[in-house]
Amino acid sequence: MHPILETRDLTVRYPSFTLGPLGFTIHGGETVALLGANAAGKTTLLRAVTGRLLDRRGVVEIAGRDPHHAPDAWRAKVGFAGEKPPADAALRVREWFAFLRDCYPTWDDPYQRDLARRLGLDTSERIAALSRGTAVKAAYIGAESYRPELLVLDEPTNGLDPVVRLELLALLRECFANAPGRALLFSSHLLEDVESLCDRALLLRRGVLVGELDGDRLTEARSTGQLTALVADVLRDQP
Amino acid sequence: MNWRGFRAVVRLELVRGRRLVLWCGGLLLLLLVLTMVLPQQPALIAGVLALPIVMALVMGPLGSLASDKRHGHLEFDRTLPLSLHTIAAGRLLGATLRTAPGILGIVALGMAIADRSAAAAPLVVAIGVLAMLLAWWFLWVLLALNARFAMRRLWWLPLTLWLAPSLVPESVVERVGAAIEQFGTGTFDRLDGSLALLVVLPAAVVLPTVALFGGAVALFAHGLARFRPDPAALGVLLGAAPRRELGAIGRGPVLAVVRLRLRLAFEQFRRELLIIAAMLAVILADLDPIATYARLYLPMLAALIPSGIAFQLMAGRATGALEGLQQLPHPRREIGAGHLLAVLVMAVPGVIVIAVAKAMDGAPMPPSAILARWLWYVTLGWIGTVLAVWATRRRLLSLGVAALVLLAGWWLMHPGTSVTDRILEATAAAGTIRAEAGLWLPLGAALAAVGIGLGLFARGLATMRGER
Repeated sequence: MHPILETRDLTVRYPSFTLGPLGFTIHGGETVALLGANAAGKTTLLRAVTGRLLDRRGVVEIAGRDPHHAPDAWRAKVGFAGEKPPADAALRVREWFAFLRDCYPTWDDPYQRDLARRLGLDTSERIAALSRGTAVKAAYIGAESYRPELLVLDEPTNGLDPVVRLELLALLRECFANAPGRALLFSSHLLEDVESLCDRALLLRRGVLVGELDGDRLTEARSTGQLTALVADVLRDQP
Repeated sequence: MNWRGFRAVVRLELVRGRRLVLWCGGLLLLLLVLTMVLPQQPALIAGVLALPIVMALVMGPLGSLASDKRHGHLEFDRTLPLSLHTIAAGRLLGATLRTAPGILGIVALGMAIADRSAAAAPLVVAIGVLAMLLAWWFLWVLLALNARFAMRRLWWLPLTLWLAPSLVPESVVERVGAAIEQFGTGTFDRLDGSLALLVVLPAAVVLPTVALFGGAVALFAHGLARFRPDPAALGVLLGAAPRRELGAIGRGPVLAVVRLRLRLAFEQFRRELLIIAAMLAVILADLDPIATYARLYLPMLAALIPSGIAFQLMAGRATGALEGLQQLPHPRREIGAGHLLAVLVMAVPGVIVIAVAKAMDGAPMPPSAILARWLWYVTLGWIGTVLAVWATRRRLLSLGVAALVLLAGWWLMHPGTSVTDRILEATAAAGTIRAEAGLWLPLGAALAAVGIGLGLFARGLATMRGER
């Protein structure tokens, strides 16, 4: 059985920044958080593992296949949601969803409507008119409604009001609690989200993985209320 | 092929452009009706007015693709569970359908020229469809090139395509011509007249259409596979923040804006500046035939330099980055003056390039000609800069309506005058004025552009709404 996501020696080079080399594995049923300071390389890493970024080296395999060399239909195994839907601003959200429904064979319409109802998303709004929080919701529903094996979220709770944030976290827990064939990887700055949602956290500093909090350490840190201090210690950029 | 996905891509392309299609289609229908009911001269004006609307319609899909590139949406397309060729074919077909109402405009012009003759109607419609087919070929090629390359780096392509036949040896041209003639004659000889028409004409239309569409799909798909967000396409907005230049804004906007714009412009056109230097070296060494072509390309490159500021503003407006300029605690006219000063400075290297090239060529420009060229660069660069901030769809439409009203008023004042005669007269008069006015014409144009443009720039900046 392949892990859902496996990276080995993953490297992305920019003129002023290098990510990696990184190696980590995510198995089915896991929810993993990616923590790091601003400009640590979180979004670059997420773009690299979902196959969006072309210029990378090393191995990235999702369900045993490299996203760059996998068959077309295989790409439905990955979902990615950033801060807004990657669509023309003139479209209405429901038009965007209709497009995705026809592209993804596993798209589940009742599930999409249920997600929209629970998150309070009005799908008749134009993408250009969405607030930051509403755009995050639309992007999340667009990526989750076909139930990809690996769902990747880039700061999913950023810009959400407290009520919707709690609802989204509850939804994510629900979706991934009893889903052994699926995994969630998300980046966040909010340790409360990490505490409430994830089994494991990867800590990224200046493009390098500097630590990992596994289930036991996370549970211990949660119970003692030391999570913030623990993460800050690891991420603090000391020479 | 995933047909469901293909239909979804076509539908999305149609849906995203529906507003432009409805507006332009409605206007073209109105103009078609007007050409049928108005007397000949105003009908001709209505027919001519249809052409820019057809152009706007054809440019719509290009605008959508540019927006996708700017926002990195092509990266997302690559992750869809569809083959890249399916996506490319869907987008090109969607773009074709989006621009189909353009046939109405071409038919309107054709009917006006044919003086609404019922007998000519079938021929006009056939010509309209063929003309639209040519427009689609052009659109597919442009879309595919734009998907694969950064268009601002293809400044050399149109002129090269224009010049390319002149590089082919005469004997080869003759042999190709003879082969085509022989093939055509042979085909017509083998088939009788009506059968030849039935076979050859459709083949002459269908074969290039299929070949161009297929080629465009392949190039577009290749562009999708290789797409990388291009920071330079955003006017280096994603590059390193020019902290020193931005910091200077607190000490007064005019010089700070000039420094910021110049820094970005030189960064934006670094490659083009290197090409200019190479071309000047080629002209100096008189390396024919390259030197001959370098002389033709240089003016285009020289004009790109002052227009770089307008590109920066357009990119900033599209990404919302211009909101920063909007919020500066300084009068907007002063910010406009900073941009004007940047255009004045940027026009200098453009003119120097031309003057140096001419001097190397043994035909030095007199100082008055250099000054006139500089004034024209300033005028056009400044108009582009102002439009980049001020122009909105509604304002451009208002300008169009005002032009229409002026044309209609002119026609009412000169009933019975031939439009074409008047256009020829006006062109000749403009040429005479240009020759007689000398330096005063570019000077007057520059002063008028500056006088009107500063106010429009300030107003545009105050009322501009960035894209979210």
